[in-house]
Amino acid sequence: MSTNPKKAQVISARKAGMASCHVCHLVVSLKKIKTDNSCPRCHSPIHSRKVDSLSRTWALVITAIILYIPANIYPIMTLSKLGQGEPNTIISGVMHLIHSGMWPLALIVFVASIIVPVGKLLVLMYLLFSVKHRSLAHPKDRTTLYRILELFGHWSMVDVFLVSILVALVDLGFIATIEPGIGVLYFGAVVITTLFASRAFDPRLIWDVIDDDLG
Amino acid sequence: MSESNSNIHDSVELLACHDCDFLYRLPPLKERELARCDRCGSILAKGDGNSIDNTLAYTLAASIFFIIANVYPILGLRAAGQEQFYTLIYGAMVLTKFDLWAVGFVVFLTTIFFPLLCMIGLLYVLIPLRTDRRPRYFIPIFKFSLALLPWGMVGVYMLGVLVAIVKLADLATVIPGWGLYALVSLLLVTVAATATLNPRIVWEKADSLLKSNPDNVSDNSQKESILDSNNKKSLPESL
Ligand SMILES: [Zn+2]
Ligand SMILES: [Zn+2]
Repeated sequence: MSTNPKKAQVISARKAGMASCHVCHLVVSLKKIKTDNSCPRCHSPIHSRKVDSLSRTWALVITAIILYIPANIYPIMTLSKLGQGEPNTIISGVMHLIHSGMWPLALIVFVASIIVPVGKLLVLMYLLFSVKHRSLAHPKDRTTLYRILELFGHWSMVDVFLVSILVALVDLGFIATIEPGIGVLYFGAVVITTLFASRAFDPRLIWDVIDDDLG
Repeated sequence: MSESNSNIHDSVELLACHDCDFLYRLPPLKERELARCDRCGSILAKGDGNSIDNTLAYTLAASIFFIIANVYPILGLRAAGQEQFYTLIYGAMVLTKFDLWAVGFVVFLTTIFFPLLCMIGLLYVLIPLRTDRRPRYFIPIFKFSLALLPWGMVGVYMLGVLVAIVKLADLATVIPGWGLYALVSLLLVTVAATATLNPRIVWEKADSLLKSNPDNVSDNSQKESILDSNNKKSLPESL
């Protein structure tokens, strides 16, 4: 398709009949490993692309969306002060932090517990659709989005850790106790599921369309 | 670095971008130099700045801070004449009291068990490699340590501690324990250890030790033949 000699040089490992090991990154020729299908250096199975990447990512994204509903409805913990119970959800926890005037911390927690999980699911769905519809637009930006997901995904675990710390620490009998709520189980499940979802997605699928287009 | 390692390091080898599959012939990199993919901008490879020595030093420091962080309490609370402290492990165990054993288990894995296994694995692999010995079971143990690396979440846990201190400020007096200082130190050296860890260099070093051992030549000759068989002209001379 392209007559630009520089572009004609573009070649992916897949086009060259090679694959890089996902564990040790050794580039191997697929013809040579046909017999045992494992990496000569680290013995991991060699796949040109992550196996069933799109369907596995979709399954995990949908699971996370379903789990996200109870994660926000049910309290993640209940603070009992002088016999008075006060349930906390993910959102009310962030609100409380904003009202206490700790702006920088409130912002970090807001990003970690609301923006990151929701943004992660939205971005993954966008990436899945863009690959499905063989989009040629902004492959570099889409890859950057994916890298950001991988970088910040686990920070949502902060809420789970926070609950475990507060429950362990605040056990002052009648004065004050904190008990965990079932919401933390669902929220933890959302975080773990989205972590596996972003790992299941293969960003090289974004570029396969572009490689095919170049001929 | 030892001589055998620098030989491997100077050799030109193939590398495929992990994010876009673009194929490169990797030139020798200067110390701590980063090679980025032309096409998608992701990091392809890092130059070796004594990475094995550095990672080893940081991991050793991490294991000491890890022990202190687990033995001494992280935080304490003082209210109405009562004082109580909690340790890292109790923070995970307490959730099982409320039938949330799955959550407690995940907290235990990500803050204690995975970081511990990862440290032991790296020490087991890097200490012999430093003195040019390839440890037994190098492949599964190094693979395992690399796989566990992203599941250690000491940094996120520290943020949780910080938020807890702020949230409790109007309820009671929060007392930092020795475990907290150890945890901060653990976080700093863990970040340094992961930043200096250069898996490519570790694999190459282990490869070079196989090569010098005549018993295991078959394993590595395969790699050599793969590299020789490539049509060098078809590959972009990027970077
Ligand atoms: Zn491998
Ligand atoms: Zn790339």
